[in-house]
Amino acid sequence: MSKLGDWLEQRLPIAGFLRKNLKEYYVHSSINFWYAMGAIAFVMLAVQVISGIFLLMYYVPTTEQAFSSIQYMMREIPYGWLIRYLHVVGASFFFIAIYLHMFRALLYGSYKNPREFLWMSGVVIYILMIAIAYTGYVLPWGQMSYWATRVIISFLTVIPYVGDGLAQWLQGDFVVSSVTLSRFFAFHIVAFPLVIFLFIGIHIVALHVVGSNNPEGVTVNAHKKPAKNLRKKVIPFYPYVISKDLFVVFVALALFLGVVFYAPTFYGFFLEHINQVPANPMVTPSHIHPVWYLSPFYAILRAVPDKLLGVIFMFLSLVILFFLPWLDKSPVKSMRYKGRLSRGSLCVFILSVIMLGYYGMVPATDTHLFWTRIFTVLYFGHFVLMPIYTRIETCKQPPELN
Amino acid sequence: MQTTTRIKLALLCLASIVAADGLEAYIRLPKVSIDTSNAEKVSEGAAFFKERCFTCHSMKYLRFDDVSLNAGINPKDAPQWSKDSWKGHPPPDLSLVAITKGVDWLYGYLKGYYFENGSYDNIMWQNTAMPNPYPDLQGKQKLIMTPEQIRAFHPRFYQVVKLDTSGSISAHAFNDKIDALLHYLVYASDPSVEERHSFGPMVLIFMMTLSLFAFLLYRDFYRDFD
Repeated sequence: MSKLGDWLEQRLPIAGFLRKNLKEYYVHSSINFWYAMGAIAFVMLAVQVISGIFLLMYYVPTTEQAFSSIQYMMREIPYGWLIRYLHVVGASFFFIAIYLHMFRALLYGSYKNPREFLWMSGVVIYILMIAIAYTGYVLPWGQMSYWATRVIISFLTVIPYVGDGLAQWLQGDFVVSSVTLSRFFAFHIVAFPLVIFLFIGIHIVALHVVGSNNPEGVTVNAHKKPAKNLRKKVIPFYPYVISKDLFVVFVALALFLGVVFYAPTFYGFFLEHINQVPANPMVTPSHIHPVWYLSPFYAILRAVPDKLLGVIFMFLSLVILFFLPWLDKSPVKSMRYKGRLSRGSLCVFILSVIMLGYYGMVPATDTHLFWTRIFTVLYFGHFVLMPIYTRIETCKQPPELN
Repeated sequence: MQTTTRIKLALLCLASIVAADGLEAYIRLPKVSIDTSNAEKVSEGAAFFKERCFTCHSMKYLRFDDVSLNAGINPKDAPQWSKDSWKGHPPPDLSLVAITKGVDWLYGYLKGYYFENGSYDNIMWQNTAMPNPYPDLQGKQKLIMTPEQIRAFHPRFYQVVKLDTSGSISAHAFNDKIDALLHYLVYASDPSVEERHSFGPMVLIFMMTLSLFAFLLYRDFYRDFD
């Protein structure tokens, strides 16, 4: 056995690879439960892939049968409802994990030098997730699938000169039709997953090059065995951190399955009631809004009175994330050592994201629009003012590794 | 479509107009809770559905559902309507109506027919194309508030309509029938509930046990640093 193992190891060094990346990958002992969110996201991705494969066996991507094929699957295939609910609730849990993961990065400055590229690859994954969630949302071909597609494709038409042609090229027809559905199907199950896997690979490779950040903001050499006096402060990923991750992942899965079994539509937040009506191009729903995880961006779109500017601001709200590593001029990484201004701004930012999420889901009355605009300004303010407030505030002295 | 028209259409969607002109927006409905594990009620409701609803409405997603088939609700026998029938508003399929409309609304709608000026109308859906399916059972209800009063006072449902002449069965028995019908409609919208709740506890207990062991493992490893 060992001979065969050695033979294989010399040709395909799996054990060596795992040892180098798990057992001999060192992190600071201060890393806490916030650092397990990436592991949860990874597991949720696996849930999406596996449940997606089973959905694929029964789903029919045509406008006539898309809606009913899902209903029949949920009612007539053994555990069809389970597969469908796992996928639907899984999408929301994936986003919950990613939002917590991103919050962790903001909290402990995980985007700062030398982790700029790591952060940017993460933003790319996030944008791909939005694309994959949106194209997946279209597939059940319910009322909101259809009308949200019309609204979102109409964003393209605001681009001068080429907008109309671009919209037509994307939907493959003069209107949103069966052709649009089949190409979104192809994007959702093949194109975007392939790219997302690629970027997750890049994200993990980039992480292992620079090493994990930590709440104390201490620089740790991820690939060097720590000196004897540091053995309690610098710990290997395996078995310590991985045992913590395992525990958090199981708790998250318990919560996830609790929702799947007892509140799979989550009161219309994870699976909207209006989308249980088959698409009808003749009847516009009285109130069009996206799923909860995308609604902050929709709120920003609505906050701007001009349509072209609205679309621009919506994209800017995502694009600005790429510049975060260079907007933060603070000498320290973690919020534990940053000043009051940074902490306050982060709180205001989180509040504005939550409130924008709320205002993106309710009808746009005058009062709602007023507050949406205030929170849009606060959202951008967090980033735009960052070079100023991170320079002028007084920070505490972070500890050194010794 | 012209760009301008398309943008206008999109803006129209974005504006998210709320249809607030209907009276139903001003009526406070009771919170109805339905327990679909009550199999007797569900099949009672299915029988009532077959008797009063199935002549016009289909249940097309319940092709192999025992409760429905036993009551004689078979998608093969469902009424077929063309797009133009009923002045372009053919009776919709009701498989998912309990989710899309909500149980509270359904309760209001099913009990919301009132008699005025020689014809029936529904308080939850003014000028509805659907004729009253059970005037003989329910009797005649009348509106006891004017639309202006309803808009002004946001009344509770029972304050708006009142039974005027009784039907062939008592009001209590009629309520029971509506309750059973709601049970069936909720059941039909998601028949997986029973199966979900039957092995949900086992799944959760398994996951919690697993979490507990993972926690003990984690504690054990981190004891190295105490």
